[in-house]
Amino acid sequence: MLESILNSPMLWITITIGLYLIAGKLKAKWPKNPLFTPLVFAIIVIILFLLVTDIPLETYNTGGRFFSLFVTPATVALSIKLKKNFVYLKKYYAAILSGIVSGVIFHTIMIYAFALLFKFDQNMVATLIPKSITTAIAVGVSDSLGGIVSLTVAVVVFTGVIGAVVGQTVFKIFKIDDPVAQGVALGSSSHAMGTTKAIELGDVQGAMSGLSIVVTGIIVVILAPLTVPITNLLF
Amino acid sequence: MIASFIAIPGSVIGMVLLFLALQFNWVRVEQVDEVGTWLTDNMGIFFVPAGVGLMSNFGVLANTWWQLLIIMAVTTILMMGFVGKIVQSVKGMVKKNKLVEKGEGSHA
Repeated sequence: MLESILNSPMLWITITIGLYLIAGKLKAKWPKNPLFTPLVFAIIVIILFLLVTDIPLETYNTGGRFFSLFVTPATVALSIKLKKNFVYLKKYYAAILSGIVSGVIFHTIMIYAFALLFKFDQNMVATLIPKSITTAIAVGVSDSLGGIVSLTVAVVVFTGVIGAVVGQTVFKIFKIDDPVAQGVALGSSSHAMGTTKAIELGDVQGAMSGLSIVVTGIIVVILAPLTVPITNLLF
Repeated sequence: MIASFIAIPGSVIGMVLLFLALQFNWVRVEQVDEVGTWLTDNMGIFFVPAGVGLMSNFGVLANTWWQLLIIMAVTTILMMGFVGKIVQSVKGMVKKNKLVEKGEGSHA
């Protein structure tokens, strides 16, 4: 009896959606607490639940895999956001593209430097290279480079939380007061979670940040294959 | 060379194709807006199973969590500052050039 309930996809689908909705309510009440970000909250509670009840990951995935199916269509749908904000890209393309391209290269160099410092292996480097882009694209990049996909998801989510929390302080320290620059900085370094912060800062910041998620994702996809020979050489 | 093309995730190819379709008016935004916005607004939930999959990597995390924490904090802060600075200064430069062009009477 219990066995058949546990193995039913509906149970896990219901739990996942339920936790996600509860987190949304908690988030509305305590907007400053990153723990109540629905994705973070659902992941933590489900992991704790599975650990406590000693239910294997495979059992959760009988229902969980249905959510993963939607990752690809949702990624494709990001292009609608790009289309809606395309006027901004046209207007400021020089600043946006030079900022993001050099930022992605700078980020990759930092990952290499830390990986060498901590003596990481190739898989770890592949896991971290797509760190700053949206989960949907990061998963694909990590997978094709030979990274640990689930660890990439965690790193991406955590990066987003950090970005959203430190954003305003970073802008103060680096004296970044231009709304376009703030939006691009948040979107390119901390994807959708940075964008929620950007939306708080203003309309221009929000639009620029949303646009930068997609642009940064595409630039990482284009540049990622180039890292393969470098990774092979260094590690 | 072919290997580097294969490395592009299918979802990204789809994204570029849909963008081109929207750009060239093969598909109108209104036709895909409702479903598309629903998908992107609720994107977080689609990654819950992938995140729960972290369970199978606790072994890796046990030894590296503090290193990952340092990497995430430092690289995110520096990248944000770096990108912001560059966008701000390039935008400033472009603006200045346009003003100069205007001054010379060309249509900027």
